[in-house]
Amino acid sequence: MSGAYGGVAVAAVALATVLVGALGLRVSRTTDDFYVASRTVRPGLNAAAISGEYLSAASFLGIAGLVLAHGADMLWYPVGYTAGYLVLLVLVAAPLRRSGAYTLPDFAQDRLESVTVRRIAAVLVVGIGWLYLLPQLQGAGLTLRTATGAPRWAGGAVVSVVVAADVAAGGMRSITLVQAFQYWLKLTALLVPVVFLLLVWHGDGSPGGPAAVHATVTGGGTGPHPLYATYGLILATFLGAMGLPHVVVRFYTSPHGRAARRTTLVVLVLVGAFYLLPPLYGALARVYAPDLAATGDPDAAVLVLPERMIGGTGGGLLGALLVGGAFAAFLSTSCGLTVSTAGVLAQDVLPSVGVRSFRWATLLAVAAPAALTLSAAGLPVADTVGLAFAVAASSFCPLLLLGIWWRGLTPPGAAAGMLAGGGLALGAVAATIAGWPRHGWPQALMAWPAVWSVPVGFVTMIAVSLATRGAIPPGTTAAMHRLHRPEPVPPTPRDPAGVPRAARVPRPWRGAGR
Amino acid sequence: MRREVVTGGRCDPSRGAAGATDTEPSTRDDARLRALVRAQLRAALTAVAALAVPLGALPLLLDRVPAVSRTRIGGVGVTWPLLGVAGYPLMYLIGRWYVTRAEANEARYQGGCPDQEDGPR
Repeated sequence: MSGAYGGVAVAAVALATVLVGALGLRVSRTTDDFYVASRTVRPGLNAAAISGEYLSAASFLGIAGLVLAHGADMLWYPVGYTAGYLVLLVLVAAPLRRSGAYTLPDFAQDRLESVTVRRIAAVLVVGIGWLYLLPQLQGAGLTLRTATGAPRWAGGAVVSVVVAADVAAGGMRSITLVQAFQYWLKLTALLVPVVFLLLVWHGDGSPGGPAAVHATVTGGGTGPHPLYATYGLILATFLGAMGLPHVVVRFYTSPHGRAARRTTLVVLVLVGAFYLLPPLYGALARVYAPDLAATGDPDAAVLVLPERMIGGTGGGLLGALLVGGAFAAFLSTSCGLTVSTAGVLAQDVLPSVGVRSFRWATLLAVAAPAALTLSAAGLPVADTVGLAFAVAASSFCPLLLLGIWWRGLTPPGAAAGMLAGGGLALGAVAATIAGWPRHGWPQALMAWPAVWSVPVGFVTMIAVSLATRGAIPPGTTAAMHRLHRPEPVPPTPRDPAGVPRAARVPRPWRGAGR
Repeated sequence: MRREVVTGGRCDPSRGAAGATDTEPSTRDDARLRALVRAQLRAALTAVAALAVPLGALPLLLDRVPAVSRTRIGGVGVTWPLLGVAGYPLMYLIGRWYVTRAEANEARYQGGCPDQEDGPR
């Protein structure tokens, strides 16, 4: 492929990321800045940053690859990724912001007044963070190899270095700008080429059509029990988004609860708009590159289409744009995961507190999955991401929902529920990654654990809480007031303009339309 | 000083800026908050139902009712437009409805507490 163009695109995106991040360096001064940008990020910018962070390798490459290989049923992935945000908006967003905590373990400790629950949450955050970083680094390896022929480890190494430098330099303030920039880069990178590709397809007399779009290229769909798998996917993505550490940490950057809600509504628009595009690539790949499904690299479909359909300099340039967008996807998601994982490592694992500790934690947060990428065999990108969602849905979803809406939650209940739900889901993940079991219902149950592990998490949390009623934390009533009481006037302690923020927050529909 | 006005509410002395100590809310304040939480939960569950019922029924419908899965819109199977396009506006509309509803609930809660209704001008 057009090696030179692709290499230039990767270098440009990496450089732009570092430069935009460096802009944040000048304003990052305190520990508060590092973690949550001092909570002064506005809804529009914050929504673009959240979307930029959320749209990962699985979205940019994985969806088209899955559609290529398995057809329209795979559209449940983008629908589920978006619906997860709607569930987050209606059940979690505002109370979570009002809790005033930095991280999920902070929320757990704040609500339940228990250091044990905090530790369990911390371990789960690091586990989910690493599980989610792994496919990002592997996707980067695949992209760089497809684009330039570089060895598989090179892409992961580039992403690791850029992310570590960026996060360690500026923390959350710098990645807010980086990620907002990367959302628009990713959208452009998919939108511009697809216009040309559709023109070519139209010029070719719209080949394929319903037949190509309908046939299953590889057969088999999502395993032996596709209906069960679909429901497993729906449950994991609908309920898992709220439990992803890098998603949750972003809500602390909203200035107040109302802004958190409105921000999430804008996110729904931005994410939904983006997800209109990858399926088009998948459908075009079914016509122009069906061989990719057979050779085992369907994830590369997005990257090779311009070369296949247009070729020459034009195809090379469009391909480079897609490579750049894909790298933006790896970088933004990896940045967010690294910040949230490093935040928890710095607070709960490493001894000292402060900026220096956060920088060391950043190295550790990136180094562990990077080392895993070097040693582990290639796992399918979308599968690993789906497993991370399942673990989050089984552990943090019950903790957040019951913690926010139920006064009866006790520390033993929360601990037992997170351990049972998250532990079983992690076990299923480990079994699936190890390739066991291979057939029939056991395989389906392990590959899509959310259907049973989410109820296990909820039932355990509720049952143990009811059995330990005496352990309800004394501060529960005060905590419920903190979580649900609307801000009298949106607090604007550090607002540089000194204008009450409510006056500048647009009505949700107008803000969303921008 | 804006923040002093904010923290000086008559209905709820515990109300404060971020970082203020939490004293136990009064029984009356707690009853009002319980009503707010119930209203917010009702709005949230309505929104979740509006999302989960159509999307949750769809896989079963596509799998079990061949007439549905064989339906075509513009030459492609019904799954493409339904999942690829129609789901997103639906989710946005549900979200928009919820945000309006949740803010109305909060305004009603604050309406019972005139000092804090809208803050200083």
